[in-house]
Amino acid sequence: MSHAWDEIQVGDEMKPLEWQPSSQQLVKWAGASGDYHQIHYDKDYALAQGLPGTIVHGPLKTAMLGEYARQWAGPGAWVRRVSASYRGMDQPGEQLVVRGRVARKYEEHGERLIDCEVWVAKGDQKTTTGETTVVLGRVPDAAASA
Amino acid sequence: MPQPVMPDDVIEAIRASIGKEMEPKVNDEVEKGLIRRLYEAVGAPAPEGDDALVAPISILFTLRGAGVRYPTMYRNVAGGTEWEYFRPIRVGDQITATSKIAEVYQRESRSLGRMTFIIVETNHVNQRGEHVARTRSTGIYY
Repeated sequence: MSHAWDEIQVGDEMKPLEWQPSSQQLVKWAGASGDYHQIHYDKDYALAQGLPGTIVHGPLKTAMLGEYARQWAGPGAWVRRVSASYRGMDQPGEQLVVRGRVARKYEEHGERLIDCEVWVAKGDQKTTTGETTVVLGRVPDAAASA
Repeated sequence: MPQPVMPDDVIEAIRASIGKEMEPKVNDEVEKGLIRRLYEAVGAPAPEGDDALVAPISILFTLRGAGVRYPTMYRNVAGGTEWEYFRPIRVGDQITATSKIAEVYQRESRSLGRMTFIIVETNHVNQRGEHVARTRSTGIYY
């Protein structure tokens, strides 16, 4: 899935990504990221903390939002910024959907940039909301193309 | 053993340290395997060629400053995060990360009671002295 600059419009919906995080994925993220907080893999521990059970790492959701934008933009794109606010907890096994829409399209410092509004939804609840900026390459040199 | 609630004197000490930079931490050199594992963790196809040598933005979470970003000694959950990349980080780069407490505030929540929000800002500099990234993380202590 790749998007040509000229075809992208503000308001475009990004193709939704169905996401059912597994306990194995949480362990992979723990290993890759070095976040070994037990609330993400030890149910008894999580319950003792007043949580509903093990929960998905917030930063894993941020990483998913960044990767979602990277795949939407296609090869050669560079995700330069991603932010996320964890408004609700998600648990392994739950059916989630990652969604987004193009919020801004602009050129700055010779780069072509897209800002996207991105979020993780569980039913009609947005459990994580975020924003991302993707670099889609450089502005073609007007002198060179003339 | 359950974690204790962060005591008030700890919260006050953290509040008093707002803006003071902690010791810079020199992280291990970025390895190709770390980049691959970060992609695997989000279920992404492993990139090939030169792309396999450039770190996804999620690497910023692994390049921590000194002073623990998510101290597990007190009860907490992650509240939010912002990762901003100024230049790509590549295999072999050595990143020095310097953190500081940026903000502390409290709110009441129906489900978790009093929540203390602690925002840590970290700046990342590579082996050439280039400012490559900045992150902000919100920890919620309840």
